[in-house]
Amino acid sequence: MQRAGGDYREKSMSASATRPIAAHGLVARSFRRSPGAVIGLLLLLLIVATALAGSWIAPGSPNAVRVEARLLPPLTLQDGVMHWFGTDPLGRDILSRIVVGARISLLVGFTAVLVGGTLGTAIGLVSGYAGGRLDRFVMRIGDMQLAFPFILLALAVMAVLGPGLRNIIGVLGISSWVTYARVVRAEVLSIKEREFVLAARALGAPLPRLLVTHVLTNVIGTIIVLATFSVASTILAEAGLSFLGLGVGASTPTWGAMLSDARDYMTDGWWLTAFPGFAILLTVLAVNLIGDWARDYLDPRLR
Amino acid sequence: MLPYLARRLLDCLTVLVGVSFIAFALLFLTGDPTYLLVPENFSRAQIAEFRHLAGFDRPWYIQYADFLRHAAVGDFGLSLRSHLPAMPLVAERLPATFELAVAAMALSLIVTLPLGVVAATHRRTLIDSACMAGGLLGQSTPTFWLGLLLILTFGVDLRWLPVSGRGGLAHLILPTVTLAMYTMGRNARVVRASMLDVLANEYLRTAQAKGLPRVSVIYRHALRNALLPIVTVAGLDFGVLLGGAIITETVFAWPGLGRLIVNAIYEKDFPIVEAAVITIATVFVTLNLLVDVAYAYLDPRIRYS
Repeated sequence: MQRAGGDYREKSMSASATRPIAAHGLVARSFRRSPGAVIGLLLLLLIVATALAGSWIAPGSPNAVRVEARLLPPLTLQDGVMHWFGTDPLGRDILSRIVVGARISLLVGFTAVLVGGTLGTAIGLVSGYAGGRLDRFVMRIGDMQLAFPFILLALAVMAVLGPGLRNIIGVLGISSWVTYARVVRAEVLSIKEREFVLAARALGAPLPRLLVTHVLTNVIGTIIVLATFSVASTILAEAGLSFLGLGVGASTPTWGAMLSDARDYMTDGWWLTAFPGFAILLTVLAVNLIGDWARDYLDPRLR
Repeated sequence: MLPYLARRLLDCLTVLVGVSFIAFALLFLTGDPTYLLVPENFSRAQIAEFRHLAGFDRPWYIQYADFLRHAAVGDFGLSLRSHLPAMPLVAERLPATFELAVAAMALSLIVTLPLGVVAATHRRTLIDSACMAGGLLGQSTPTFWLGLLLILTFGVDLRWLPVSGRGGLAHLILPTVTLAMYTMGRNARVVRASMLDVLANEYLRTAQAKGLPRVSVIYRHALRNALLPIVTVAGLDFGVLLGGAIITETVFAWPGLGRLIVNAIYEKDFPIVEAAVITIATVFVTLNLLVDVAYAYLDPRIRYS
């Protein structure tokens, strides 16, 4: 038995009223008409460009300790190097660290969602298709996982596995499978019994292929919307775990870890807390803005 | 209703057994706890004897059955650090976390109900856009950063409010705002969406046509019906808040469950981690059950069979 709340959402997500996403002209027009989406995309492109440009923008190595340059305020020129965002208590250039942090945040955000989305979709397909005991078992495991606050599960697993890029991607990815699996499964269940499916089966079409083509085309919109928002929440979760010291690891500068380091020096310079926090806020906001548009366009019922 | 409740209770129990298995498996995967427990100067023979006496040399399923038997009566063993029973340590932290979560939930509802309603009734106006932009901003702000900024502004610069620990109302303000920000952002949007759905119904047009005052139409007729999704989200929110409390409590040195868990994880104090995980899961599962029951009361169309 599922929670009534879950049921409500699954039904509203699963009916096959999602718009086909292949209408390119429509996509572009709808996108241009949404100022939020345009701002979000521009912001995200800027952040991705910053992450990619790396050493061209960042004046120095993100881990280069220079005690003589400690706690310089933003826009300080020292020894011919411009510290746009200032330096931290160890004299490390904050902009350089933010650039490397951008790579980690984006990498973790997008990869973990790819892992979770693929896993969840596959599980939802198999579970809904197989039905019976397997289905009940899988859904019960999902309930169990949802009985944990997400961050607690991630914390506990990271405590066991230890910090590391691969670990955090794995943990954040795997712990997000349930939402996708539920949506896809609900769609499979509703489609499995439809007349066109029964007819196609009677004609000898293999059910697995039917499910993949019909179910996936029907839910892909919802999946994209879910995935976009979960990129945002994954980036927040990674920053949170890094802030608690259970993220990528001490030697890699991440936005969350920078804020954690800044805690002890908050009164020494506003730039220590301001810039990494802004970086997280802008990235998450950009993704959420795009997600908002994607939801309105692909799946108006989710509004 | 009764058979439904019985089945849901049984479900909750299965989920909790599953959670206990996950908690146990996590502990088991960290390896043999013997070395965390014995003094460094123990000889190999003494270690082997200790392991045998503590039962760590038995197969995992026997250890799990043992763990389950003790967990069922709330016995999670002794904290590896303080050597006090783990469950009472967890239980004494619960009120602080509840205080914070309830305050955050109250704040979130107080702010978002009127905001969402106003946004929905002024659809596509500047007010609506401002509310929704604010909501998105709230959802995108990292909790711990907001916490640090609030500490810096109201604690360090203005010196208006205490920045750490638990005490009177003044201590509660900054952590509550920090913890509530995410749910405020999301709920404003949920309330708005739910109100828009309801406002499109014909019975509201009828109510208005009958000449009922607008306030009465919106708050007595529309909002009441719009509450259903809000109850679901609020129920789920409490779980989100319990999880969010982990970070907020760390930022504000709030003596709750979250801070206990984080410290226990740093210190590899696994009995505490297990007791806390199971406690939180129990609270979470119970709340979900209550939400389902609340549903039946709010919407007579929902009948559980």
